Amino acid sequence: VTDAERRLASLLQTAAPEPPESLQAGALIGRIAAEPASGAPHHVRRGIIRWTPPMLAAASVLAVVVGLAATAVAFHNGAALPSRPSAAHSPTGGADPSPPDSPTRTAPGAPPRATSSRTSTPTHHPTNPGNGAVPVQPDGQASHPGGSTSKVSGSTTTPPPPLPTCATSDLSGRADPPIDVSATTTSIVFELDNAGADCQLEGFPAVTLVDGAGQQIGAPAIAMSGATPVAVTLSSGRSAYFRLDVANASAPCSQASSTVISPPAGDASLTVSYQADFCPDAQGGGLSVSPISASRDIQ
Amino acid sequence: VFVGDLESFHAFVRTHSRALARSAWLLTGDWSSVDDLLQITLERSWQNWQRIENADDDVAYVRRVLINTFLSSRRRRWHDEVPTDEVPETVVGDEAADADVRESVRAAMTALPPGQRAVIVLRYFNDLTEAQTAEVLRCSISTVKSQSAKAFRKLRAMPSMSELFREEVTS
Repeated sequence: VTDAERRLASLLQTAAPEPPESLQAGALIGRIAAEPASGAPHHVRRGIIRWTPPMLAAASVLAVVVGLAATAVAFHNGAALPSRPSAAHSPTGGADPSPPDSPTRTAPGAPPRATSSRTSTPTHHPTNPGNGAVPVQPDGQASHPGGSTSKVSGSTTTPPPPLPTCATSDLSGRADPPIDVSATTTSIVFELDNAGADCQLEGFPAVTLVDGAGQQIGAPAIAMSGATPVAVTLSSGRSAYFRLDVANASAPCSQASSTVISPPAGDASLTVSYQADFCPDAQGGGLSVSPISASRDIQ
Repeated sequence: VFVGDLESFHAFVRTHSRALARSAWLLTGDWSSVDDLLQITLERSWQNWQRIENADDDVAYVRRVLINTFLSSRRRRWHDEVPTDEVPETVVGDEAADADVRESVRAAMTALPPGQRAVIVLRYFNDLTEAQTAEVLRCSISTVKSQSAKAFRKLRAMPSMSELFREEVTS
């Protein structure tokens, strides 16, 4: 370290001011504490909007009106609504300043996501013409159950018609910043946004890493053990999530430049940028993937 | 879904929020951006807390979330450089000198591209090694070396900063 470098370090120490009270630990903890500790989907944009009581009141009124309108439409169509508690009726609805059912991407005043720097290019290159690249299935679980998702309930009313599987061309993907979970394993949560009509995803996406030349690195991701897929409904404009764990063995490593993702029962794939080294094990393994989840919190 | 231990998260925030906030100020140069950056960073860290708290180095991971959030926000340009309209307070003596340093450093840092700012903060404010910096930025050590050398040269060459660097030699 040179003298000039030491000087810069001390200049930075002098320059960096003490945080104002609103950014000290107590205030920050207060803000995060308003988050539900578990359960409901977290969303990073929650809390960015400074909700004031009039805004909350307006949001509640809007939620009720929308709820009534939706009920009326559903009644008119003779179809039962897929049960989706509205913000106003959710257990945390009263205290929670962010209506979970509002399409957050158009939330007024919300800045665009901070995390989605990664480009997402829906492509239609012909992966999975048959079942070529689907991930290993976990102990016999069907990873691509397709249309067999409707479950007949005990009620005597007509069950809601099953939603179609989301068309890959309607989905776009983005990745959260990677989080290291151990010295060798990195976790990345991916978000799939539905630009099309209401649809469903269930099962494990097929995921591979590719290098800058588009060459696959290692083997496709295997399904995380112990994870049970459930059908996740993506209303138009809403998102589903899955997590990719990258476990690195020793060298040789390759520089990955993107992830190629085929949603469950999808007919195409999409590419999301992911720049990191991947050091597969001797069998090419190291990637594991969670089922599609309705929430960002995937354990 | 069990997310993580709230108490340990609060303890983490109490211990590290000051350093995170000051790092974020050096990166962005204004408190309103720091506010956004910290909010997102802490929410995201809390969402992943169960995994982070069991990791070897929780600070490194949260720092990485902060840097990644900062860099991607700049790439998306949702929070572009805003010239500050804060009027520096009138202060005397040592405090006045510190305020000068603060303004010079802020001006110099915001003139650097975001990636170079990140390298400077990690290397010289967070006092990380080149290898640790490369780890946070997910780039090679040689990239860290070249970027930090480039950023360092630029900072020293800026008129207000070169004066500050000289002061050291004379004092």
